[in-house]
Amino acid sequence: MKAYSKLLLHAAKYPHCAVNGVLLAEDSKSSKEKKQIRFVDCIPLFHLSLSLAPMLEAALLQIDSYCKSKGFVIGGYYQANEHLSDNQINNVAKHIGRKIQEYYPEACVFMIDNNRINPMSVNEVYRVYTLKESGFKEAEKRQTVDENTLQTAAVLLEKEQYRHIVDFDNHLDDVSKDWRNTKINEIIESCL
Amino acid sequence: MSWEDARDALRKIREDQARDGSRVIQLWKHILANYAHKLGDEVWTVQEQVTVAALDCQNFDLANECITSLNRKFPNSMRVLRLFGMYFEAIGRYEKATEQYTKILEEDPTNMFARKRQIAILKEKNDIPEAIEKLNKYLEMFMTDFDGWMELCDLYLQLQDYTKAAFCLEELIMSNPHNHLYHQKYAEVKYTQGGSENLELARSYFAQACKLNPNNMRAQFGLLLTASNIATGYSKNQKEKNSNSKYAVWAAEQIIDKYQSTQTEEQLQDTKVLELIKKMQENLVPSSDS
Repeated sequence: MKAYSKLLLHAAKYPHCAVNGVLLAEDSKSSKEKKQIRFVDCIPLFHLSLSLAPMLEAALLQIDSYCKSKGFVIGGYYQANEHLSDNQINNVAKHIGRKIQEYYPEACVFMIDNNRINPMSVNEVYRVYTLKESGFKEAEKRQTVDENTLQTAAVLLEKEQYRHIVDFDNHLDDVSKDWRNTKINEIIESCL
Repeated sequence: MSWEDARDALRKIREDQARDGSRVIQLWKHILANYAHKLGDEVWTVQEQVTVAALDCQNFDLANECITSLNRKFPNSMRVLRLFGMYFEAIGRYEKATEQYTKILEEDPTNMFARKRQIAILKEKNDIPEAIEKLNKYLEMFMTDFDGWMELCDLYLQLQDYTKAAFCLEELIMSNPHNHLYHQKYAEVKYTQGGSENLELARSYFAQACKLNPNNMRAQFGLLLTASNIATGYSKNQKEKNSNSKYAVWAAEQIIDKYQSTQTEEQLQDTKVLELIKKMQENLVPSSDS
């Protein structure tokens, strides 16, 4: 729920920019159930420039060391393109998706459909892609979140909580801004 | 909130050129619309602002209302004409929008706004190569439009044409040698291109950005990454390796300082950022014993 809400809020904060971020999953190596990835959190990355490497590396290094201490892995990547009606998976997404997948084979890429970012939305806002041998393919349609999550996310969107979400671009502009978004986490917890 | 506060809030948004359509609409609808008569001549500027905000939020009724009232006050004004153009753009009638902009340009060939909108239409149609061509032509005429160069750079980046993107930034650095953001971005592009020559360049531009603005975190991280990459993988000899390690260690110190002085203890503990940077630093230290 935390992961889905924050992803949605990040996309809503910058309606005129492309945004991206990563999703953290519980490390499934320890547990036996390999079939399902459980996403537990989301770290919003950038909204200024998605196709440049250095800050991406700096961010991923930080997130990686954060994950290790928590027992999480980077299990997914999401991106919303700049253009309202453009929800195609592009080279940047493929490239980053591939890199993440090298470290975590079950990783998938979430492409956000900008038109669905709306408090009234009853569907998930993204399409899921997974890496097959030949390239990225859209995964089978499958419910990834429950009703409850969709509703909570919609309420947060309605209340304009997206004004308070912090991504790595904000963090690099002002280091005191916290990319863990603890305040929003608390609000989400209280909605449970 | 009183109507004066709302007016001041809108003024601030205009001055900062912040793009926050939904807030503008709220301030207008809930407060200022009832006090429009008190605004004096400022009401027209505000209505223009509300129009653009409404278009941004796909609130076409409100946009229509404002444009109509502006058109009544200023018939045949260029600024109203451009709002009509943007209105047609927002509802997807690009031909009609282009017509408005052409009309403006016939009257005033130096109208930068109309030219830029024409390029924006190409972007909306997702025709990036054509947008690039038009923007190049535009920049031949308006060479000092720095935002224009930046936009061109971003368009090239979208196509992952890093060489041309770098060229735009070179152009920007030449005319603004003291702007740390251009240096930083140029270094980022060079780093992304990769290879030892580009990394060297990236390092010196990151360093220059750090010097111009010591608070630029992106430049600090960039310097750390480039210098440590060169030190561990691309150095031709020991001397080069040592000096690059030294730069990286310096950058790491700066970053640690910054984090320690601005973040809370809890945050530092939880994100492990200091441990990470210190580890990077330690990996470099053994070779810098000269």
